[in-house]
Amino acid sequence: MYAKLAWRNIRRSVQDYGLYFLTLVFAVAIFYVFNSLADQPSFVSLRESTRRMAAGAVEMLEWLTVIMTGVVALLVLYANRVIIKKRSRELGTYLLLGMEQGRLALLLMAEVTLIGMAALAVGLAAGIFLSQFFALVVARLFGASLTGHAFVFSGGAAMKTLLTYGLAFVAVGLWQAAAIYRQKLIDLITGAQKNEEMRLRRRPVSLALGVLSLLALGRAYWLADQVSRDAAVNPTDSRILTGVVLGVVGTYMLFLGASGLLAGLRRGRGEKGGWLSRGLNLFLYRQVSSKINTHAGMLATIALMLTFTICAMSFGLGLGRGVVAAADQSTPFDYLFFSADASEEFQEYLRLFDQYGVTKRQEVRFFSRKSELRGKDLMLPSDAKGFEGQGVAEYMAEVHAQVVPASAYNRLRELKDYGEMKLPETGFLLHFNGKQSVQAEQVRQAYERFLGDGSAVVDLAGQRLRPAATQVFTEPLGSQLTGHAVVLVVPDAVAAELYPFGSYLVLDVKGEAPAELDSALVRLYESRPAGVWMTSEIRAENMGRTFALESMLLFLVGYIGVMFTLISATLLALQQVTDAVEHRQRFEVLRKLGADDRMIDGTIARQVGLYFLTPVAVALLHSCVAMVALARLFRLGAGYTTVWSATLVTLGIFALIYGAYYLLSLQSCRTLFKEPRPQ
Amino acid sequence: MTQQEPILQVEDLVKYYGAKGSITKALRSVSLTINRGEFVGVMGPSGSGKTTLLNLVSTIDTPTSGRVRVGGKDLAGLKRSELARFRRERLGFIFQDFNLLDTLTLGENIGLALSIAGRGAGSDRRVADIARRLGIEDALDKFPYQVSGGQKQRAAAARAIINQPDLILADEPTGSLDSRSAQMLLEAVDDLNRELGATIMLVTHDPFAASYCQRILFLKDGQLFTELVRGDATRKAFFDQIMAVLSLLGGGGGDVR
Repeated sequence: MYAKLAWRNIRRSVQDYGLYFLTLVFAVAIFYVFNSLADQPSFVSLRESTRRMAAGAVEMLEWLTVIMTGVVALLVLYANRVIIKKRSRELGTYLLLGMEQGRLALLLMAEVTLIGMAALAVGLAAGIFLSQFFALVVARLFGASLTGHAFVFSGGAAMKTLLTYGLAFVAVGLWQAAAIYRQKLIDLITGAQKNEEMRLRRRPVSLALGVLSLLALGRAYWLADQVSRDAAVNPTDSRILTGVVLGVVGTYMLFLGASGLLAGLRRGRGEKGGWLSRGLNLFLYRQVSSKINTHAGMLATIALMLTFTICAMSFGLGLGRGVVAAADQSTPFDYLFFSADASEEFQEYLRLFDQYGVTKRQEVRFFSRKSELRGKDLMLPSDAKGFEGQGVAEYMAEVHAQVVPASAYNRLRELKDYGEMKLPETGFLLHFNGKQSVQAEQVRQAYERFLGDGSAVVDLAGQRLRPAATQVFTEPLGSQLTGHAVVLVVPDAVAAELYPFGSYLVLDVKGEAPAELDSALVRLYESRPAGVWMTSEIRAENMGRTFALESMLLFLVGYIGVMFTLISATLLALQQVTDAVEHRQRFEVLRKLGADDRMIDGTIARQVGLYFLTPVAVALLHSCVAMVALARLFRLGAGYTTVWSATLVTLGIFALIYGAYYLLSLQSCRTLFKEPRPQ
Repeated sequence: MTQQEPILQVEDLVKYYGAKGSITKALRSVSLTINRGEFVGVMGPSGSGKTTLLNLVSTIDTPTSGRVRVGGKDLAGLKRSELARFRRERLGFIFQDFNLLDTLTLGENIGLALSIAGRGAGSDRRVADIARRLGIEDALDKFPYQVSGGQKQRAAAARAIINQPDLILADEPTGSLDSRSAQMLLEAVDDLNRELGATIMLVTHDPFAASYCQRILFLKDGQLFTELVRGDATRKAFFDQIMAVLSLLGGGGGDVR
């Protein structure tokens, strides 16, 4: 009988608190997915030196998972308290029938633990399944190479998931049992009858709160707009802190004062009411406004969590993409070495390639040449003047152009399949990376205007050169070659007349070079003679480092974001189910008053929908303002334009989770409000 | 009424609620005795302390002072485990809202009391016996939401008596029943009292329900106001007497049905 009782109770718990169960499953799955990161193929394929760096990210993730487990444990505890409160009469009945309190505590512990274990099992399975997709996402995001679609299973992560969540569930079970053991029978028997306190605020107070909140939020939005318009943002700008504080305080006040605002709005519409007088709308309005009123604090917290989630996730995703694109741009070649010492022949470097058996390689060696031409000499005078005092743009106009012989330029293009550029004996080309920033793009346009001007000529080594194309080429050639300075491509004969500026060795390797080679190259580079300007760009190292650094950010925000969304949705869903008893009576009254099933179903859908949407609407509004500001900031600062697509991805993920929770809690509300209840 | 063995003895029972500043004196000082086989009603207006008295007798709550003895045993001296044992062996409960577990069928609800008491073996037969006596043998396999309020309450009554307790405590058992169901339930309870000799303490504000009792204790403002014994009076006559006391008390009321 006891076993039967426990089993029936669990079945009902799963039915009533399916969403809570689902959250546990998700939490476990996500925990596994993130912890299996270290065993992901794209992660394993990282070079040794970068994996060492990435280990930092993993360590950080581990800390984060500990914190998140704590948060989930708190949610479980809260959910169980809510459930116990709802079941208090039932538990009291067991005691009245003479069940010993210790036995009841054991029964409950068994229930909690069993549900936890079930969630653990399902969650782990889901996590293993999800991590297969996660591997693809990681690879896609960071351009890491993914060899084959092998099934990924991380025993370590599975073990860790089992231990962490197992312990968490057992701990919550014990806590629950202890709480029940201390509970007085009278509180259990009468507990269910105690209604939640109605926190009524006087109308003028709540109206004042509402107006104040609008003022605070308006001011916060305005500040965000102002700050983002500054060319250079100082992170310690006091306006940022003020804006955030005003936003947070304003959000809480908004929900606290919502009833007052709504009432004001209603009065503003006039006595006829229109919408309100139709069907069950007045009832709906009262339901929702009273819920917002009683749960103002929770809803405001959820709105803020969601705002943070949307901003952090889209920002993180956008930044991740931006950084990868930038890394790709700055290191298009597998290897690029530069030395300002023109006698450098890179023999030691090449020997290392041979030593590690990397013989299938394409090399381009050339000298770039010095010229007296500055960037501004390749612009129309009006443009050059316009860049004066414009920070980076002015610097770009002032720096000397780097002259590259046409043959070397074309061999570089050939390496990357950019297509050959024919250059007449008296022609020149310009190559400039305008994608690095907004200012750079303005400079590039200035170069293009110069080329398009019919009178454009360049005098070099006694030769008069004319533009061979009206277009400035922008294909990535690495940050050493295409940084702030413009690349001036001239016929080999002209270049030969100029003094060498520096020596370049550019290599592309067929297939994968061993990671040991990269490490050896890094060591060699680090032991370069002092006083000589050298640079080294090793693509694998660079991308790996980018991956390691950005994965920290991305996983941080991704993890927090998904968990926050889950927790918010669970809180809302739990609230719905907990209030169900109270609402059931109201809906029964409505039914007795003659409302048909369709009307009631519609009202339930709209009630749950409004309740779910209110915090989202506020969060979306907040995020919109924040995202516009952030997008503007980052466009000004760096070549970062992907933020909107990242926002869309974020909203998609968010809508998926949130929508699923809405539908499920709608379903559970409908079944709860309908008598008889199916077993 | 030849037996005079006291089942319930309440001496100078006091119960205060609330903290300093706002103390509610739910029970000021109540003493009473119920003998084995009696069917006793407790009446009084709202706030007179009926439910508090019931909660103290039923070990749901603990008194501020005074003592409660059931079958000679002082409740105050009982340990946790003894209390549980006491509840399952000596007491039976019937509540206004039935208090059945909605995950179990009526039969399982009745049987639950047996299995908690560790007498699960052969429980089906005993459950069927009791159910037949209360006229719900056809509803045993149904869930609480599938049956009427009257059937639910009779199932609750069956659960209350299946362990043959010394004392059955009923808190407004007819409160959520229609008059016909209420009558059926009261007759069933009356039968239990007569045929099985069950001792019953019925808390109610409904004079019709009270008219089934043999003796009625009236509470007012947390104190015993008066006592009414049916004796040989007909139920109708007893009902009129109850009404007279109630009008004196200034609460309750109702019509002859």
